[in-house]
Amino acid sequence: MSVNSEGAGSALDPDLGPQADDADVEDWGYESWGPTWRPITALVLSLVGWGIALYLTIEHYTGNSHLVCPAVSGVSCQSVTTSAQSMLFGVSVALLGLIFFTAMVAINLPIAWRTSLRWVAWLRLAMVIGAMGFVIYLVYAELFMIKAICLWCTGVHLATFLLFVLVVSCFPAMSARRD
Amino acid sequence: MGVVQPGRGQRRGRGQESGQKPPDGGGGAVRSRRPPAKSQARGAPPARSASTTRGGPKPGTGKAKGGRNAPAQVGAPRRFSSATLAFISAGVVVVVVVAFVIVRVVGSPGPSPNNVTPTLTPASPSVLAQVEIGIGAPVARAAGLPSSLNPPSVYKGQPALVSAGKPEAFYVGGEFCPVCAAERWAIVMAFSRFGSFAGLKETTSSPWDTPPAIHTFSFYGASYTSKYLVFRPTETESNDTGPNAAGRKTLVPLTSQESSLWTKYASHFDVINDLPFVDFGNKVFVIGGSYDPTILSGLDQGQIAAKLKNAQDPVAQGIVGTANYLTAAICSITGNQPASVCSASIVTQASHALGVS
Repeated sequence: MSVNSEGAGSALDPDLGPQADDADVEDWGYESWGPTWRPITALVLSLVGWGIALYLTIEHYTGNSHLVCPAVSGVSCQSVTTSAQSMLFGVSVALLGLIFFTAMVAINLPIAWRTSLRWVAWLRLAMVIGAMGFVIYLVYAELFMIKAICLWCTGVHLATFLLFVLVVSCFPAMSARRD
Repeated sequence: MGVVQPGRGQRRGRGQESGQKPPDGGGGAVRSRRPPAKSQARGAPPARSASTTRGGPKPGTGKAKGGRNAPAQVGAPRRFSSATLAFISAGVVVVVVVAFVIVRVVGSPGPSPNNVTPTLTPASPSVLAQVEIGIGAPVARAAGLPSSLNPPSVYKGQPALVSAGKPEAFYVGGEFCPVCAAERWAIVMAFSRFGSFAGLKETTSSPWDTPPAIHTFSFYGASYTSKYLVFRPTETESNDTGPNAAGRKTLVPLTSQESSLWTKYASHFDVINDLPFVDFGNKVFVIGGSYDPTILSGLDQGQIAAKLKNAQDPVAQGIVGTANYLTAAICSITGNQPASVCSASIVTQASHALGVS
């Protein structure tokens, strides 16, 4: 085995302090957040969620007349999307989802993943945590208040969940970047 | 793996010297570029011990003061790896959702006597007497125009809907429909102020819809007479005979005029195929219900009727409040006749609120 000596001498000093922190950053992939699977997956999930949210928003404002949904026991997209819980402060939950995923698409663009601005990582984390909490509320509403499940909504929930896991797992590296 | 990239692996924290796993437990691209343990890279023997190979500090946190091979600091700050964070975050959410599902499945009632196809029986005269609340009754004024209601919509400038020289209103609903079930209480109350129904039936909405089995009337086979207007209530779809709209069929087909008017005005308000639909002379419209039907959940016919006496009760707020709006809607097409109804203060208020005064 051999070690490239470039820059190695001082870095191996046991009392490096800040330099060791730099190593931490690199450990987390500081230089490798470009075309890796995680940013791409996050963008794809955001686009999937955006597409479904757009569909549900259109259906909501056109009377759910063309909502494609299987009719099996416990599944009723119509019941869910026309329920009292489908509105929040007078705004359609589907529209809120569309707004959220529009923002998620923007913040998951490759340029947003490459940026060294910490607040972007914090904002992304806050968004997915907030969205995950809202999804848990919506699942509760479906199961206990509406007593029906909407498969399209479940698709959005799943996309949000995967985004949540992805963003949370990436957060240490992203937040460790230098402003 | 024998070569360490410049400026990278050489600066590992002490944790890796002592056998600590890299933080990216998932083994991504970064991890694959990592060097072997530095002690090996520098030719030193591996410093592995029970205390350092398990539970030691993460890279970068084990800046041992005692030298390169010193054991990791006890109590040094720990950082979760991305894999650990992913596992924890996913696990918390999954546990919560699974708990919801378990509680829902275990707590859901099994087949109950309510899960049978609803039947039609003649409406109880005593119940009807309690529903036919005059506009001058104190409860009508006290219930007022609750803000929780979804008031009717107004579309001015349309050709008046008339029949036999009288203004006409028509209703489209379905016996299965819980929102229709709730709306019928207010419809019966409001139209009873201008005429009388015959042949009203008692029934419930579908036990398999949501909310289930709302006690109500059915207009199927009923008629309405009034010297002020014509009212044609049509239950266009039947009740269900099982889950998932099983057995639901066309009960009374709509006329081509009703069908085209329903499509035209529902489209105007961007609500299509929503039940119930009530057209008051092509001027005022109820589309999709005026109040939340869940406030009637679990109440039978007599219990609902009894609650109409208390204006503060949510049931009375929903039914009597909606009936106040509907009364104003009817007055708007009858030329405010009869005056005994249409000049009532609550009707005047409702007319102002709707913009049809």
